[in-house]
Amino acid sequence: MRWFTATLTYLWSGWGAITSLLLLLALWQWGHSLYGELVLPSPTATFAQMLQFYQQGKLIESLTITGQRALIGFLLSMIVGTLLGVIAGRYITTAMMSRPIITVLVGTPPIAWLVLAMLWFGSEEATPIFTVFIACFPIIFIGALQGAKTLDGYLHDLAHVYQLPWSMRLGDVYLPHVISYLFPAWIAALGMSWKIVVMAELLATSDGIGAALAVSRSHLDTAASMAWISAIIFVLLAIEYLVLEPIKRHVEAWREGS
Amino acid sequence: MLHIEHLTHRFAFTEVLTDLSLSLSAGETLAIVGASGCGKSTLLNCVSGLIEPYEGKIDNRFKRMAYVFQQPRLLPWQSVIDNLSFGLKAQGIDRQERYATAIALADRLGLTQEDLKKYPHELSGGMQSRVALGRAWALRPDLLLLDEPFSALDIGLKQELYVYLRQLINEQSSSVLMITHDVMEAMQLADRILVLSAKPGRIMWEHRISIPHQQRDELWVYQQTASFLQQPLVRASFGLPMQQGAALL
Amino acid sequence: MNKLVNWLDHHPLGMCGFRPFFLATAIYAVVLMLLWLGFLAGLISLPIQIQNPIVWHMHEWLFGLATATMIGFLLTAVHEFTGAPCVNYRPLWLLVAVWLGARVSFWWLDTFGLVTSMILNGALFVLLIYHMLPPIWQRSRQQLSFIYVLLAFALLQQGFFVALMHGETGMNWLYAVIGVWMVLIVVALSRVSMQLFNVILNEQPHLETVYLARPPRRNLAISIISLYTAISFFYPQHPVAGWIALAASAAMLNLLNDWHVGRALWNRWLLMLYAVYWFVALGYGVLGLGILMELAWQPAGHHLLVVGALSLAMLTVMMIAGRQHAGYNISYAPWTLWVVGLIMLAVLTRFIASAIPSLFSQWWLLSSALLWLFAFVLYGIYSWRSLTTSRPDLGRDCDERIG
Repeated sequence: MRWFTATLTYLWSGWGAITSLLLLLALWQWGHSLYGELVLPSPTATFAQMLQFYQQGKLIESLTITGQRALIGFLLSMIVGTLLGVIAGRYITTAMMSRPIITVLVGTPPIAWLVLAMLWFGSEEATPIFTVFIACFPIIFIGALQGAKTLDGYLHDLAHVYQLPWSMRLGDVYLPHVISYLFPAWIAALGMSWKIVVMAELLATSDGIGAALAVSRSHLDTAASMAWISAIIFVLLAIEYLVLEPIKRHVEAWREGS
Repeated sequence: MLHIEHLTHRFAFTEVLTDLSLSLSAGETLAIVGASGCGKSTLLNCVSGLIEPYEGKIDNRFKRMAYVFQQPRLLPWQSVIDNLSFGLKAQGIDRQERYATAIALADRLGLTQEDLKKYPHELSGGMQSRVALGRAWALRPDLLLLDEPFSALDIGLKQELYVYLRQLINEQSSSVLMITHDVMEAMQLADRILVLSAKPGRIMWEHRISIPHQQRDELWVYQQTASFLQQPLVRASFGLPMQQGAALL
Repeated sequence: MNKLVNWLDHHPLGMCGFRPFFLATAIYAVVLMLLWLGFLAGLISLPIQIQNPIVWHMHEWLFGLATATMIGFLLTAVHEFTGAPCVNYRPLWLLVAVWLGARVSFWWLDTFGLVTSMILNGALFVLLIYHMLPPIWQRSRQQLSFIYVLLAFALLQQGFFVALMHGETGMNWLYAVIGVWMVLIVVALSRVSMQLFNVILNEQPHLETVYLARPPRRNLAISIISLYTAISFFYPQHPVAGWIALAASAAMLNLLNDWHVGRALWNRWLLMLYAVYWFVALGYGVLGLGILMELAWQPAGHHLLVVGALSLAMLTVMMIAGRQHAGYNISYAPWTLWVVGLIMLAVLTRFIASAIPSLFSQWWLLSSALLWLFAFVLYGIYSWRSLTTSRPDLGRDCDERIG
């Protein structure tokens, strides 16, 4: 019952976000009435187009393909980035050594990775997945590294003095600490993955939302383009507010000011 | 029960403790006082096994040790009740029993049922210190190590926690090894006081207190502290000027 | 003559602003609705200077009826917020006289002329601001928003008369007035609800609930309602206004977050205020959808705002403040529920009449009018005593119940 009311309260607080989004739509509508259908189709026309895509089955199909690519790239990045990051953070030498490499990875524009991926993998599944992977990797790696680096000190003393068994050291002390650093990094990376995958598809694949966007652009079909863009944003909003934010609240209830 | 013989410890080339010998018997409260940086904490860390001594022997026959750090050092991601029963979990005691102990302890320490559900950041500094004390106490230690756990608290809270601490010690007749830079705190709580000199730390003075704890009122503590601080060796250890009774300003 | 002066100077009805004006609301509700039904039935003719009869209906509803409640509320509230002396007896009777004059001048607009009516109606707001501004300015500037709302009403009404003089219908001015009313509802009810919650929470100390009408969400709702009002004034039925109306609806629902405090909300008075917010949200939602889907939902939306939100707010405020400041406890008598039930049914039937055009529309309309009318009659009957007799407690003038 308590869980139920808490969920309801959370969902209801979404009206604030909906208010802002509706104002954004008003602004969009205003732009439409200034520049006309060709430059900026109205929100209603766009949503009608989106509904049509849904009825044709294109919408769900493209979303599934794109979603899978983003998720696979993200998961690979999560596994590899977390493991390597924790290992690198445990030793001062490796932490020191990895810093410049991460600077290079963060600094390289995702589009450059995409070009390389296309050269290496061609127009295959691997291209968008790799691009997502490599774009998310440094974010997660840094989070893991920071978490592991700050493990020493009082947590170690505490674990020793209270003679914690290994299972507890890991489950009650070290993991929560590392995850407190990792979690924001995962979330940032997940948001990133969705944007990167669309970009990669636009240039490298023949299916998925990015590809659909490329097609509508080549037909100079602004309404269709806006419909695809809106679909991307809808998914982004849904993931953010219906999945990530609730998890974040649950996991980070102990944090100050949360 | 605890015997330390000729303990010497150094960090790199700096000697922090020199040829230190002491023993602590069962049920005794031993306070080690000294100026900041005299190696008090190092001594405690050697006893608890956090650091290996450079030279010397520590013979520790106590079975269950608990350590209260200078800061509360609670686990921020666990609620108060989990923090309180944290040491018990390590001993493999099941959840129900753990929580029962924690609830009873919380009651003793003046924490409410509501407080038990909170996370540490929702508590005030004084409450956090109480939880830290409770966490150590839940283990029913025969040796309690205290590393200035009261130093950041105001005088009212300190007195409150002294009372809790004494009650708990008396109930279980535990031994306590506490370190502090506050002579009055030592006077109030300890059976014996050792004064450590600074850089490197060595024992300069020993003071036994025979009056039972219940009979030590405020005036007594003030007077004892004042006369204790008249001892030339004690003054030297704390870096106080040598003229006795010199004006403070 | 002496007898009349004595009556005016001493009768309990003149003790505090809410007394004559709340009573006037109840009476005028009946008069107004009967006049309107009489016109619809072809028995009465409206002034020829009014081209669109709905304009007459709206003007008297908003500036005659609702304004009477507002004056009663504000005169009492200012005393409460600032501790300034009550406006009562002679200055109060002057206000009542000007209000009545303004009504009469508008009924017989052809006889009195637009200018007379414009001056009389304007004088009412000038007088009100004259009484309210000094204490608010000196003692409690956070209540200045009430003055801004009054200024907005006064200016819009003057604009309306100027529009009539230019041979326009003046309808868009009155739509804007509805917007200002919604702002006033949000502003005033936040004060009323805060107090009411505390009264009720004090009665039930076992509920560990804290209610705070925090400004951020309220300010968001107020700004968006104002934005919608401004844009639809200049560009009626524009799709941009449609989205903003939906945003206003969402902002009102967002405001309800402050209200979801658990069991404490299950009190009839709180639920009434809660329902007012819902009606504002629904009204703007219907207006917005109507514009975007190009449906003729505007009357339905406006009636949700006016018959739903505004009538309910008026009656709730009258039933709460009218008793507390007359020295009585808030009433939990069954008639209070009847009043609310009648209003709810009136909104529903009025909504059906506009939103679902059918052969029966007129009959739905008539039922709605009668249901609504009975709500006010019921209020008038049951409040007669508390409004017209002296206080049963130790308090004086406008004080809240003491002892």
